[in-house]
Amino acid sequence: MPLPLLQVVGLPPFAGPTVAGVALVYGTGILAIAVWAARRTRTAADFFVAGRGIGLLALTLATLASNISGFAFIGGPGLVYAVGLGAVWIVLPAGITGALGAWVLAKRLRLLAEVRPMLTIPDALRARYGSRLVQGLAGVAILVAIVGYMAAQVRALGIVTDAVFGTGLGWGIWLGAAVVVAYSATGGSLSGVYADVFQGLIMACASTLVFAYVLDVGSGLSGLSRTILSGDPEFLEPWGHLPPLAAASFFFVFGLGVLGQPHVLHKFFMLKDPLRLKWFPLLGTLALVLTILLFVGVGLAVKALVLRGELPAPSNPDFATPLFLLRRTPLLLAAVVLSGILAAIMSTMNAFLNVGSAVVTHDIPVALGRPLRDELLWARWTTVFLAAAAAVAAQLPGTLVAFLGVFGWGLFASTLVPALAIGLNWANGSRKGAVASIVTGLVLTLSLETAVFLRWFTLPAGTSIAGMTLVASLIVYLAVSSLSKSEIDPDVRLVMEV
Amino acid sequence: MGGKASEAVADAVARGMSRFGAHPGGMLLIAGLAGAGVAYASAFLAPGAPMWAGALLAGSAVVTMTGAALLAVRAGRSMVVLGSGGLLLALGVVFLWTIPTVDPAEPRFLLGLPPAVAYLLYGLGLLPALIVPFVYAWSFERATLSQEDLDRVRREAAATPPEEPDSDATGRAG
Repeated sequence: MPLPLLQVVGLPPFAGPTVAGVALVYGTGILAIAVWAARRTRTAADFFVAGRGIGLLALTLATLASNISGFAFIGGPGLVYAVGLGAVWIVLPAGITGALGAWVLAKRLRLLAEVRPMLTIPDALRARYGSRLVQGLAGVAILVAIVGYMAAQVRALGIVTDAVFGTGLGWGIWLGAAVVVAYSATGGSLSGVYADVFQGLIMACASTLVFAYVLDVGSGLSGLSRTILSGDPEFLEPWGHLPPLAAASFFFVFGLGVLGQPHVLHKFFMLKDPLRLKWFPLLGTLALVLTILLFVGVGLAVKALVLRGELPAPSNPDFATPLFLLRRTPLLLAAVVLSGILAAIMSTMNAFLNVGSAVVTHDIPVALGRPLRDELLWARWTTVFLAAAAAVAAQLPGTLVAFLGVFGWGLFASTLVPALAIGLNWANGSRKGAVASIVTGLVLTLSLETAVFLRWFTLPAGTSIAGMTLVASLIVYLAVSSLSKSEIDPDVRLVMEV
Repeated sequence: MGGKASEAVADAVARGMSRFGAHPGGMLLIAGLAGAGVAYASAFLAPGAPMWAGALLAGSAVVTMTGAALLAVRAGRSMVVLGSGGLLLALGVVFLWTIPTVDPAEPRFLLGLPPAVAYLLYGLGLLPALIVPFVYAWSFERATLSQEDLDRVRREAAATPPEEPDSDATGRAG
């Protein structure tokens, strides 16, 4: 759930020797991985798909780390604190999405890499539909989504860096971006994957430890429940303070939307042995469930502690996690969780940089019939350029950055789920259907999100642009495909049949 | 002329949808999308979405996901298990809307949470996490990928001349 970190104001300062020391140790570990990976990155395939040689554990933790952004640690618990259990519907599909992704896409994508050179998700779409137009359109959609996502992630990185080192937001943004660029541009996805392994472990462990403190300070779940029920009973209803339709919208978008997240899905190309996919959902679900314990637990705990008068009400919901860590956990654990938050943001950013540079240096040139000669060199420079552009965009007013980040998930889902997830499993899906669904997702998401942001109109309570555009683009894909002819190359057809 | 054109379009839609809908996964996908569409539309038609809209959308989400998964697995026992499991989960999600809210004056708890919330977190969140990955692993060779499948794909890849390289990123997996 790589939602952007939606906060637009600074965190309370964490700066102190322990927190800064742990963050420095963490940063050093990441840079060491970058140096190691840079020596092993010799081709564009190394850069974009880690040389197609990673194992199951690395795949699992890499997809986890790319999937979980800072939102899971700060924005998410803040949302639970603000609106109650309705926010939990964002992570509720976690029990099934690992297997869903594996059933629908993991095998197909990995087998495509057996029969064709595969670097990117748009590559897979070109193979499926035999169309450079589909590849190019998908690349453009991915790039548009990534620009917004990246700005929000870089800003979040700047905010946390400022809180840890006291750099100020502007320098925090540049410093954080520089660290990510250092390992993304040198080692590409190879350093990204192994940094993700390190980061995923930190995230899962930090989340589990914090949840133990949640249970401790709340006198168990029943203690938390009693307090909250006495002060704000609606908070503990299944959809909290949200309209039920809004909670269900979260479930729909985050359940089905996982089938359209290119920065996560392209990691399936990297797996060395496709038969190891058998245990991917089991390991992935376990890691994901551990990681989202903090998401659910901290929001509940802070709500109960505030109602009991044991914690001041956070001035901004996004302060719920920092407040809980600073007041209710040992400083060393707070420092590790801070590193976990940095890890979450950096790993997501790295994944976006990798996918974004692939679109610019591979997908769009190939779609235009003008492939680049030295993709590796161009990819490295594009990574630097994209990170710099995101750092500049991140200096825009916070609400605008938050807006840029908001539509990313929905845009990925509405443009890629139909053509990719349905298309790779339904032989009648056609090139025209793919083009129509990508255009539908792109145009509807951008126009509706912009119109709502500019307050040209308001949507009824509980509706979600991401959900509605996903439904619309799926219907368009099915309808247009039904009216047109599908042509599939024999090798791709075999991949779809096995 | 217009009548003939519209008949042709209707005929093509019917043929296309019957091709898609003939598959259990396709049927569930269409049903799920229709349910989600109705749920969202209801929010525009009424002053505030009706209570059933949330239940319909949440149930439709599970039905749509089940449909997508069924399109991907092979016909057989695994498809039956997956399909019935998905429909059971969809009904389970809808059932949440029937659980009464707890009385704050006399709260009852189930594993530390009010019954509806316990059902939400343990029943709809945790329980599938404990079952679905095992179903995937249990049915993997039969429904998803076996060594023979992989060998077959690799034989095909070896027999097919590699396509013209479009970048320096040539080479296949394996």
